[in-house]
Amino acid sequence: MEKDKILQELKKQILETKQELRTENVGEVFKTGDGVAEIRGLSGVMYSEMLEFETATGKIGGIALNLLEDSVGAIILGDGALIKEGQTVKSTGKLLSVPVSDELLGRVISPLGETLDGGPAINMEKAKYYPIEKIAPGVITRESVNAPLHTGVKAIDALIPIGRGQRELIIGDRQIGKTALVLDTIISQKKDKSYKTPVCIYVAVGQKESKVARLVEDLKKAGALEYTIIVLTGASSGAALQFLAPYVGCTIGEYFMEQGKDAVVIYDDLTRHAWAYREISLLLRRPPGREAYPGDIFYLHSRLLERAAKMNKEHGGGSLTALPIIETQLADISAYIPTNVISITDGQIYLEPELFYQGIRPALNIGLSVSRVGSAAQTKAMKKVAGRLKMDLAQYRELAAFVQFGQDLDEATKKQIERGRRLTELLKQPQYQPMPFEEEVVSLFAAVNGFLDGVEVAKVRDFEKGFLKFLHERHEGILEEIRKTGDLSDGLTDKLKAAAEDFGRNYFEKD
Amino acid sequence: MGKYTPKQYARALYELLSEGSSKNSHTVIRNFVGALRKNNDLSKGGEIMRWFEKIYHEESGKPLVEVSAVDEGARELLSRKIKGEIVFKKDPRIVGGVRIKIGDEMIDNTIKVRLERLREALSK
Repeated sequence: MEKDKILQELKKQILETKQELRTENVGEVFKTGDGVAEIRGLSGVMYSEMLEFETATGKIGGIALNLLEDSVGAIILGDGALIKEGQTVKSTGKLLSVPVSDELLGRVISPLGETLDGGPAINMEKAKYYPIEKIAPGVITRESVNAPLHTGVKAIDALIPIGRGQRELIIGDRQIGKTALVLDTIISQKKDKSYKTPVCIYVAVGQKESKVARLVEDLKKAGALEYTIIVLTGASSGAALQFLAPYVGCTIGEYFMEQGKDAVVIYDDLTRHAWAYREISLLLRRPPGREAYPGDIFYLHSRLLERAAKMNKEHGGGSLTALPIIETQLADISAYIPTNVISITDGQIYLEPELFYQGIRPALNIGLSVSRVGSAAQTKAMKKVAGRLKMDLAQYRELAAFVQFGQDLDEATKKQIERGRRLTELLKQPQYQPMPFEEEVVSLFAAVNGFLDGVEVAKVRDFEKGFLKFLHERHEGILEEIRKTGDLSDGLTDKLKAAAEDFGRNYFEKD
Repeated sequence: MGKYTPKQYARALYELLSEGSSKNSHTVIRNFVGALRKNNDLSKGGEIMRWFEKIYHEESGKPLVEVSAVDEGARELLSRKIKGEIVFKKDPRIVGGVRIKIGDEMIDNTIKVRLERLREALSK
């Protein structure tokens, strides 16, 4: 019986399948190699249209990028070795699209939507297909950034605040903690209870797969993988996939943004993305420009980053925050690609090798780092402590030059320098320990109000740890109120001062 | 004097040949090759030939029709029905049916492709 039923169903399905005859636009490969192919024919093809190469073992995708008088230059999305001269290429009439769905959460995928983590494949039927190139949301649909994205790193949240929908560049040499910084940002999202947890999308462009494997492991351990999606192209993936990966990540982010959710997409890193595009462009014989990059290298990044947005209420109120990463050579931020991306983004976080080796980690250069829109989104509580912090640090930087002269300084200057040293110490933060925003506020509050002045520099972090523990045990209410209101009211300030005095007395007595 | 593109050469050649009678086509071609040599463009010969074929098939009303089928059975019928120059290809891989390609357009009605489409539809 069962067998008959299956048979009937199959018959029905076969009969229902439409077999209409259609004319197709075709061409023929006449040159191939290095992940690109040149095709004759295909007279009706459109720019960046999907192509299908018919190989002996099946179909391989491609994208038409160069439309010339009698030939088409295309990049190959797959094993280029299978493409041979004389093979038929069909145009599909579609732009490259990727499957997007909630199922992607917690997964590692390739830019083409294949899973790479050994888990089950994505259910394509439930997924929606979004084209990876899309015009960024227009002015009418946007509003200015108004909600903070807390990174859990004190120095950033206080001095270079990032808002949801902002584009903040993270720039620095290799091995300086750029990825560590974004990893902490992802981990800290679930600790930020006063705001919706955003979906985090980490796009690895040409990264070592061992590095990405470690990152996934770290996220899993921290319980952050469940709201994270990783789009992976390893160093061994072809330039075509590396070129596509950021756009795919952005498309996935837009899917969540359209639902009114918040999303953060991290492009690690755009230097490699530019390299991949340069490689493709040179292979397609486009004229090289400065540093052999093609003429549209600026547009490559600007159209990607422009898609980060904060939508207004009428358009769902979602947001897409972009955190691009740029790797510099020998701390040269005035090179071609770094200056391009700096000018596109709404600010940059500059990590400096000198600070890194001095043990200041995250190695943030506060002077060169800015956030052009984030301060509008900063919570009132953070603003109140950050204002003093900024001033104290700026004064310290100016006076630091005099430190060498030692004793000849007057009392006020000495005090200022001591304060600065303690603040610098306090802003150091080990990896994997992002802090909830209310903890950041109280610990900075203690510092700018002079409660740290009596503590030895080496013991600053110990004091901070103790103080936070003390607050959690005895004054949970204060933390709770900061979290809820996002503000430090006068009453709260007094309470916090009293608590800090109380703790300070005990702390110094113990010594 | 500027350089000519292969397409311009091909068009010139095509127009000269279609104007004149078949008798002097020999002279036209000889002079054409002479002109190529004078302009130092002999290396463009292959490109010019390709463009010439394309222009010829597009404009002479005799399109190049590539037909693929399993055996030669359909050949006679098709050559009676289709105007144009027919190139017949025997291809056992297509299982059955016929594939017709005219210029950049292709109609694929082979059993192989229909089976593939069925497989795609069923696996969805």
